[in-house]
Amino acid sequence: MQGDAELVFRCLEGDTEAYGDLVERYQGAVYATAYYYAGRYGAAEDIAQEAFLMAYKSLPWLKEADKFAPWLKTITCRAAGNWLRRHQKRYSKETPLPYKKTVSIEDAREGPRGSLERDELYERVQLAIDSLPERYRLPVVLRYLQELSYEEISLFTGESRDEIRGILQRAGRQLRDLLADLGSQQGESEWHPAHK
Amino acid sequence: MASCTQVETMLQAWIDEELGHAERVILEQHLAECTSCRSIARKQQRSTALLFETFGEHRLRHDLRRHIQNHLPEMAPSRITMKSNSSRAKVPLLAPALAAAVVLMLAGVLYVQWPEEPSPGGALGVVTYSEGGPTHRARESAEATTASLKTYVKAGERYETGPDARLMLTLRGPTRVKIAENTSLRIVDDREVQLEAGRIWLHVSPSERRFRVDTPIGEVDVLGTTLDVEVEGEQTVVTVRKGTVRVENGRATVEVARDEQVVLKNDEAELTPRTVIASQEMRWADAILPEPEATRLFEEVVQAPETGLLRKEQFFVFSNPGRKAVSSFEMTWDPGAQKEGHCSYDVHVYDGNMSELFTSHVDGSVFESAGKTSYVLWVPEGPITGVNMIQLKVVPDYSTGEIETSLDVAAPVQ
Repeated sequence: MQGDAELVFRCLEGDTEAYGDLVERYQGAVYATAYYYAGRYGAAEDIAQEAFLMAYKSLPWLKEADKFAPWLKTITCRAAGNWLRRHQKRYSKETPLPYKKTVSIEDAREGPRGSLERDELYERVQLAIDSLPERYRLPVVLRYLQELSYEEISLFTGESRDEIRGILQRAGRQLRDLLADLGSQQGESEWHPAHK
Repeated sequence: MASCTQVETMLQAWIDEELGHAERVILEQHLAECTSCRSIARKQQRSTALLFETFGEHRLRHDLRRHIQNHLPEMAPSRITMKSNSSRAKVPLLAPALAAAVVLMLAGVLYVQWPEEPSPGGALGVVTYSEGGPTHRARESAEATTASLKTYVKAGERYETGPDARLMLTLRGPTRVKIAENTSLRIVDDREVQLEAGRIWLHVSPSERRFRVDTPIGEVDVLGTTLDVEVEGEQTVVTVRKGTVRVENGRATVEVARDEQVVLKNDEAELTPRTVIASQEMRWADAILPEPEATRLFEEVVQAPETGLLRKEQFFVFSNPGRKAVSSFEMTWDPGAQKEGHCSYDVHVYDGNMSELFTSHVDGSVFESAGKTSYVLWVPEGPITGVNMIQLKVVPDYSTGEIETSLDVAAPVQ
């Protein structure tokens, strides 16, 4: 598999297949990032497409070709920010911009117990994620929405793999407590250790 | 044996199958012996599964590769052929008259502009997706022409899709209208459409103004929501995904809420919505996605004049063959009507190789002083010397406001 830097150089020579490879490699991450900012408005795919086009046009400005991934992340955030600003009036009552709202852990714990409708469940999960420290949220969405590996998340966010592991551990612990009342409540089952 | 605290720090990575072999063995040994950690691990596994499950249906559903590859503009041959997206980008700004006084040779108009279209005069929207040769006609008697991508939508037009055609219109607001096969839809204005046959999906922008869908049987009034309307022989089916709509058939009126559907028939005196999973009912519309170029055209030509947003960075290139010293840049702009709410700008200055020389910031208040139409940005730490090209990028920062200013920048030589 070719490295990002090599693909970037090929793009700069006008090779659109090379850019296609980059799109394929990062579409999950870009989509999840767009989703993180504007998912509730159903615009994530539009934003992802816009981000890839913006990135392509800005490629000549990329200083370090091997830093393509975190650079693409920044561009995606900007594309999402642009989108939110364009729709700011419409959504201003729902989300303080440009960042997602932060809710307290108490808010996130509230809510009906027991079996929940799908939408309500989704709301609860969103609320729980919104209550996490801001720095945890994007890695969490990258992990759970697109099932990116720690390595892939690290590459895209520019944080080390260990940092990502730490973030997801702390987030996982907090989410475990916040969502303890949800999910399948089957009793104690037999213990089966997972293996790769 | 590992302590419970140590185990806790490995738990999520273990669930995610991201632990190395050694750590995994340690953890699993501990779990086999420690009831309390086992119970915690189960809880965390459950919440992890719940997260995957909840997000599962929101996952990216289309491979973006082909679509994006098919819409890439030509790659600029060199570093400097970048863009300015200010409104003046459409007018080449070569300014020979200033050549003696300033080094300005190439103004900020090296751009990648979307394809030019004829003047949109009164356009209500743009065709943002077109497949299978849908047609439109201005009047009943007019000849039908293909409604291709980026066609401007005008009041009074009728759009028709055949058995294989599908279409999407983005109207002012923006309101998005996805049109299924075998559909005939007339655009009365940006807040009213007539669905004569077939099926549409609508995402209506919230507004004080009601949005109306007329069908042969009944009317649908909307104030900002996502819905699906289908005219099916003698009946009209309305499904609501978000928000609430009011539906009437001449004899009765009913409010239809999220995840509800109502079937309108001519003779019915009572309308009763039933519960459905709206997202499933509307699945056909998921495959119709706006083309980014057409959306951009819509935003810049149809929508932007209303919002007045430029929202892009502006870029300037100065050629300085004599490598003369430059100690300041002069920014000028046309006086605007707005007194408040101007955005600030981050200014990035580079040499010809795009190595950053310095960055600076121009506060939004600069653009608010009455009568003031220029600003001198001094180069910090002395003049720039010995470079034959200077590139300057101005990036809006909306922390002080939303109103953007279209700038001209000159670099006087010392």
